[in-house]
Formats: sequence, C-alpha cells, structure tokens
Amino acid sequence: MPQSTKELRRRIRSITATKQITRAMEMVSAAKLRRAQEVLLAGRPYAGRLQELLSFLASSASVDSHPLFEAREGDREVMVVFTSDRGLCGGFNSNMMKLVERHLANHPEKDWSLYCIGKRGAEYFGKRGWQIIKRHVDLGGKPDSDLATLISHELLELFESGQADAVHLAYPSFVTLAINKPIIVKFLNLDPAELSPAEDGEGGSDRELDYILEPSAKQVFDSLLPRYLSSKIYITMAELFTSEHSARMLAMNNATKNCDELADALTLQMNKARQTQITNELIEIVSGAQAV
Amino acid sequence: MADFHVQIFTPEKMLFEGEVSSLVAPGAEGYLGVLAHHAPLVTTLGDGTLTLRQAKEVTEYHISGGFLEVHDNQATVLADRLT
Repeated sequence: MPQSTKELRRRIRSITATKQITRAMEMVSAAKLRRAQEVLLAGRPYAGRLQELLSFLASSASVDSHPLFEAREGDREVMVVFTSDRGLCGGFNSNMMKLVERHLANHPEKDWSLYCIGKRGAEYFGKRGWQIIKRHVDLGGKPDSDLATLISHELLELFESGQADAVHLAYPSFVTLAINKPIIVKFLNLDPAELSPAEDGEGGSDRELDYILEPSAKQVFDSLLPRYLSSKIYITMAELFTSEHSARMLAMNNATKNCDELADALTLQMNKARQTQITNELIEIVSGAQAV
Repeated sequence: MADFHVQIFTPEKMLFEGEVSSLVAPGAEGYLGVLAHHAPLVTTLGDGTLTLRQAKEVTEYHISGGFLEVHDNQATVLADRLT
C-alpha cells in the first residue's frame, strides 16, 4: 500500500461527505415517494370509473364507427416516452430508453417519431437523431391535470389529423415499492376489446341497465373519450413520478451502502499504513541507537 | 326522505362520499335534480353549481364540466374541476 496516510484520510473524508449527501437524497426521495404514491392512489378511482362508464357505453353505442377506434393501415407511429427530468436514479431512465430503442429497432418498417416527456429521454433521443415531434420537460415532479389534458389533446390531434396512425406510451409502470417495470402500451387507436376486461373484473353483472343518456349516447361518448385519454395520461404521469422516486430511493440506498463499505475498507487500509509507518520509525530509532 | 349514496371524483382525488337526500347538478340540458330511486342515467355536466342536500346541511360546489352517472341509488359525479 503505497498510499500515504494523509491521502487515505482525505479520501475517507470525501467519501463520508458523499455518504451524507446520498443519505439525504434517499430520505428526500422516500418522502416524495410517499406523496407521489398518494397522488397515484387518489387518482385511480376517477380513472377507473371513467373506464367503467366508457366500457359500458362502448358496448351499447356503435363505437366501431368512431374515428378513434379505427385501426389504420398506415405506418406512421408515435412513441410517447416517459422519463424523469433528473438522473441519479440508477437504471431507471436507461432501462426505459433501452426498451424503447429495442422496440423501435424491432419495427423498422414503421416511420417512428417520438414525443418526449421528461428531460432525460428528450436529450438521449435528441442526440441520437430520432425525430422528436415535441418535448415536455421540467415537469415539476407532480402530475398536473392541465398538462395531462394538453398532452392528450396534442396526441389526439396528431392522430385525428393523420400525422400519426398509432400512438404508443412507453412508461415505467409502478409495480411495488421496489420494482418498476418499463412497458409499452397502445394509446391510440382505441381497441374496444381492451376497454371491456375491466368491466368483467369489476363484476359488471348489473351493468346491463337501461340508462337514460343525456343529451345523447353519441354526445356523451364524444365528451367521455377525450377525458378518458387525458385521465390515462394523468395516471401514467403519476406512475412515472412514483416509479422515479422509488428508483431514486433504491439507488441512493445502494450508494449509501457502498460508501459505508468503501469507508470501512479505506479505514482499515489507513490503519495498516499507519502501523507500518510507526513500525518503520521504531526500527529506525532502534537501529540508530544500536549504531551509537 | 330516502337517502342515496353519492361519490364525487376529480382527476386528482375523491372529494366527497356519503349519503345525501338530493343532488342538483348542471346537466347538459339544464339543471337537473336527482332523488333516491332515480332511474339509471348518464349525462354530461356543464359549468355551474352542484348542490348536495343532506339531512340538515347543504353543500355547494362549483363544477366545470364532467359527468353524472346514476344507477341503483348510487350517483357518481366525475368532475373535471371542482371547487
């Protein structure tokens, strides 16, 4: 160990300082995670009810003719990529980007363009020369229903104007506190078959009621759809933030542990070096005394 | 007077849950009142005042856009924004 005790001591000090930062970040993320999770859980009933209502109407009204349900032949597809604004959260963002890149590579026949939510993804895909239609960055760490509405309107417009034949969402789904899994789901066109399973799960036995629809089935349906879409974006954003904080909390927890280990190893090294130094000095003194 | 169950949701959270004796909402074709044993109904809501009457209390919210769904003495309000 050629390192001097002085240098070792300096390294230990810097690692201890780093540890304090990572531990503070871990605690901040834990607090933010709890809040994000509350928002996510509080938002789910609305989205669930909306979907229930929609699936009921979808089975009664003639939805197959609705433009949003139309499966198009075209190959211009949009991928909406949800990433965080900040790093220091382990493989959270890179997993997301890897999944998206793989998906894009597996479907080279499509004409892909990206719609980036979150700074990380926007920067990454921007550097690699993908076509980015729009980017939303600096999200502020909290799902915002106005922003969600804005995003869903923009996506809807892309689809309706024919600039996109299909829209997909790529986002980190929040599985448990420790696990989040990047997934890709289809956003548009809507698939009537996809709407109904939720109904079965809810034990939709008495859903065959004869509803009075005001002003008309079609109008109710038309105003329900955009809300359904923006509520989906809202929930997706809530999942993004919840997953982000849980990923960061874990990453910072690991970093704190690593700091501990490193500091321990370095302390051992420093003590050994100090001991050697003392031994050497003693030998020098003793041999000096013998020489006299 | 008979009561029925009401739940009010906004995209962010559930705002109200409880038994009320009447509900008045700004429907697509004008204000409409809902009492217990109302027929199944789905309607869009416009801007206006949403009034809930409980035994003694009257609660008013300002609603801008949303839906009202009623079936089996259960009313669900899905509001875009509610204050």
